[in-house]
Amino acid sequence: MNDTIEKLGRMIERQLPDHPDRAARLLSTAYGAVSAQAGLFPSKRRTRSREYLQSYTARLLSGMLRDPSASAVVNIFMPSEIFCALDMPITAPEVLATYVVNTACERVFIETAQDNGASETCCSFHKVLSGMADSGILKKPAMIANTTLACDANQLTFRRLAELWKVPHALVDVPYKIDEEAVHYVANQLRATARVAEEASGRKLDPDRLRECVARSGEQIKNFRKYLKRRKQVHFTESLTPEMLHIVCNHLYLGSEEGLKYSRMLLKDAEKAAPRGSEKRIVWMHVLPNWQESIKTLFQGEQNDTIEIAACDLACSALLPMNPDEPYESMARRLVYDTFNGPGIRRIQGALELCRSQEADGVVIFCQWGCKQTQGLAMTAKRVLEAEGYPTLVLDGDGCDRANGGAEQIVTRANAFIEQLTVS
Amino acid sequence: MITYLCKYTPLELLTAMGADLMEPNRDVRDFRHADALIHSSVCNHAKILLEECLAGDAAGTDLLLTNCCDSVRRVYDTVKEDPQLKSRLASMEMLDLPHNAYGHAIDSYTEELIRFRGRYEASSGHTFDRQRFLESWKKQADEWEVFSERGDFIAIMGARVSNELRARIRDIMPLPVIDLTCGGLRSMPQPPAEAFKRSCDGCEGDPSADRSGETWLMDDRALMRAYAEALLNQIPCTRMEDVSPRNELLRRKSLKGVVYHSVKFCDYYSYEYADIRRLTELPVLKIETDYTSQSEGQLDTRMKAFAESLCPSGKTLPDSDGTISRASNSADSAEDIFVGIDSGSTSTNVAAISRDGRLLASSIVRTGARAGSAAERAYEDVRQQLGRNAARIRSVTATGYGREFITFADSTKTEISCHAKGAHYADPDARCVIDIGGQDSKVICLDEDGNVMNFVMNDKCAAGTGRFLEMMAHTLETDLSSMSRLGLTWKKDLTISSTCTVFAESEVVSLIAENTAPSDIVHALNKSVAGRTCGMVKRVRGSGPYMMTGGVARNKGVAQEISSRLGEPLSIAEYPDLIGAIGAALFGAQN
Ligand code: SF4
Ligand code: SF4
Ligand code: SF4
Repeated sequence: MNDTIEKLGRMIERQLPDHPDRAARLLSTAYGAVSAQAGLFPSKRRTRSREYLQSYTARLLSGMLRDPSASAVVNIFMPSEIFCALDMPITAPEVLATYVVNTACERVFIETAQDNGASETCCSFHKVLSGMADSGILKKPAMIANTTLACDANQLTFRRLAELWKVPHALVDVPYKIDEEAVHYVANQLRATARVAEEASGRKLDPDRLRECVARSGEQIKNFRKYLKRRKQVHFTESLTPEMLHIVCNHLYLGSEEGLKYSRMLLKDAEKAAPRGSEKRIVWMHVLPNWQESIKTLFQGEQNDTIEIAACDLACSALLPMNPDEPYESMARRLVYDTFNGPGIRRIQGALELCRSQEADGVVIFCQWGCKQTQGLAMTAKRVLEAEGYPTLVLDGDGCDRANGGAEQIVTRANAFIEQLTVS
Repeated sequence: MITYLCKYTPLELLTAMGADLMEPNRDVRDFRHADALIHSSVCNHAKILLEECLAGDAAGTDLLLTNCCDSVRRVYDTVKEDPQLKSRLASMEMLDLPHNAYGHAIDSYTEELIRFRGRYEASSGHTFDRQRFLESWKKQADEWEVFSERGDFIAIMGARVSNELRARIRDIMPLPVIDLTCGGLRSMPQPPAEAFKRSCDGCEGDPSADRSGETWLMDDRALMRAYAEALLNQIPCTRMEDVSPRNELLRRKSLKGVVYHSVKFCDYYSYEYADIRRLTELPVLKIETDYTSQSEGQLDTRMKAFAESLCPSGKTLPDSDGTISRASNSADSAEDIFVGIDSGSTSTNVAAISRDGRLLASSIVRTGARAGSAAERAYEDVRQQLGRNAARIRSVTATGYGREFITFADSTKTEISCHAKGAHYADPDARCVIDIGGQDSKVICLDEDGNVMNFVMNDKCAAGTGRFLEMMAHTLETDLSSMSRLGLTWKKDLTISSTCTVFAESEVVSLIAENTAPSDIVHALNKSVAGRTCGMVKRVRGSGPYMMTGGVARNKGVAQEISSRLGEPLSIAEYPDLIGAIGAALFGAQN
């Protein structure tokens, strides 16, 4: 990690206990600078789409750290169109934590969360969010909202945040059973969520705007599907950070102009990309440790012609058509039919489909620290995927906490896997 | 036979269909089957289920789970997707349990129950007996009512406890213990009165009439809906959306204390413990188990200390062997001598004091493999130091994890109480004692009389203890006393991010390889120990004046770091390793 970032991280840690406001300003300024830099001086190495979305995300976070009073904190599966139609900026634990770990100050938030009762074995994304709230660097938003999909951590963190911030809290219970009755149940809860959001934002939700947002998300999803088709034929030198961006974009930015614009840029980048060569192609399951230089260099080195990540299951878990005339039902269907919902085999099948459509050579299952939903499925998934002819690596790591990174062992294992694939 | 886990399982419905019920809830020796099938970071209780399905009592039964948590869902997937595993069960099924208890959630659970009932009737050949169903429901509700009216009690809350642990808690606690976890008492409300009513043309009010043609007044769906509502309206577990009834329970006057249990890798029951601490004055003991019988010793110590703190003063609790402390009853004399032995995992410390608390002799030896013989050696050493006066020893009180092995002690007392006593004696102003010993660390809050108000001990791992520093000293090729000095002369503020000893060691090795100054590394290690320790202080809501005891208190670097994190000075005991032994001796003198 470079020295400036490490210094910044330490400065934030030092300011935090007594001057959380100052720490928030520091972090906000830092993200503001990141955003401006990416916007004004795009790196030649990076794709335009990546520069664009990173700049947008950094700007959004910078604003939220400065003044979150008009925004909402949600979990990543929460349908974003409702908030988009009300002009409420949103963010989720995965986004905050990924930025925080890249500014080297995650530890202090994780410790704060644990001091305030979070269990050590809880998902680090959620601990960073809780710690940011507890320490006062993230001030209270207008509201919070979460779905019970895809994990228990939501249930815990969001309830706690509601108590801490004393802000309205909308919960969407997503049944495990996948049928139209469940869609109906979820759609009604989304309507209730919209009412909470109306009250929290002080604005009326215009049904036409909601329809527009849902239409946009439908188009974004369509573009992403096209991109996936094209992705099969091309090679990208960078493949780790972009997947993290896809995760964020295909959930949190659905419905926004920025999300749609990104999907168009992405499609263009893919059209321009070089045809694929002999690189091995991986389907990645779950989040990615994009702070970890050693892992990053494996998958997005400049001379990277051995291996690349072709797709990530979390970014493609619910690429369903949207119907603007039934906005709530469409959003509800996306939740209920998400491959992360219901029996674990659905998620495995989702990954398998990606393997087939992307002509992948193998799979990496990234077991995020504390993510029982992924850890618990890993061995079964490995067995099923390998039986289908896709060598699978189960990698334990952490998307946002250096302390659980275990840098050396993770690199050794990833390297051995790459060797295994390239030999075969 | 139906194997189930969750209190939201429709047990009454199953009883009404003649099913036998079983709850796999035992401690295991290890997870040899489960670890080969599922990632080790899945909740240990969920792993028990795998063990039981494969090799235990659940093999061959019908498994009926609820969609409780990620761990249970994944254990279910693991069995379901593995034909061999699946064949060990007669059948398996998961009920879709909603996260809330109103409106559509009740409707959807009603449908779920009706569907399940139909399937079970078809597969088992039994039919649903409504009368039996109502009786079973009523019985459950009666049980809850009886509980609600009873006197003082201690509740087990948090994640489910194993049968063995529940029995041990009951043994140790001075009041009746009620298990309110997932597998404990179910707080079902009574069935609606309507549900019992039948009608039969012309026979109302005529007891002798033929009732064979009777029909129930409440239709079946309405009954099932009432039942679903009752199930969902039990005192909720923390998986549910609205947990406020749990807080009401905590406000009951008759609730005298809570044993709060968490299971390794279960996250549901983490925040609530902190909240209980924050929001109530209730005495709470937090214990964490991994569903194996490995940590029994440490757990018993803590439970006994908790029981001691709950117990009205003067009343002595039976110790683990059931005997009451045998205090010496010799005549009072200014010359009397009292000995305390603190048998720790690293060292055995003995102190001899006069009745007015002067330290007359002391000895510290390494414990080694046998706690009993180390205690004998150290005791002998103290007797030698006392010379002729050794004859005036009036009592020997043992404390520490090895106290049960000291057969010549007159009585035993947990190290929590002894530390509190010793610390209060050494510095009556101290309100929070931070003790970092060889293999464990603890934080104890005291009231102005030196009684234990609250305490925590670290979990089983070495992070944040003397052992951690010892291992790091070894890696740095130095010793503990140089480390103590080195920690004060650092220049560059580094951080060791791993708390796990193994990872921390590899970080230290990399720092050495980068030619980092040893003093900077030591400082980083001290910060890590201080961070963990201050986390414990926060967990018990400790506040100053602070006092530090235990071997690590001699390490100036660590003490300085802790003090700076606490933002308050820290008094260091004069004999930091002897505090527990002195406390034990004082208990002897008091008796
Ligand atoms: S990583 Fe796993 S536990 Fe963490 S938020 Fe995502 S799904 Fe939940
Ligand atoms: S936590 Fe709740 S849902 Fe899960 S087993 Fe316990 S009572 Fe059932
Ligand atoms: S102890 Fe916790 S994680 Fe384990 S099965 Fe029960 S609720 Fe789930």
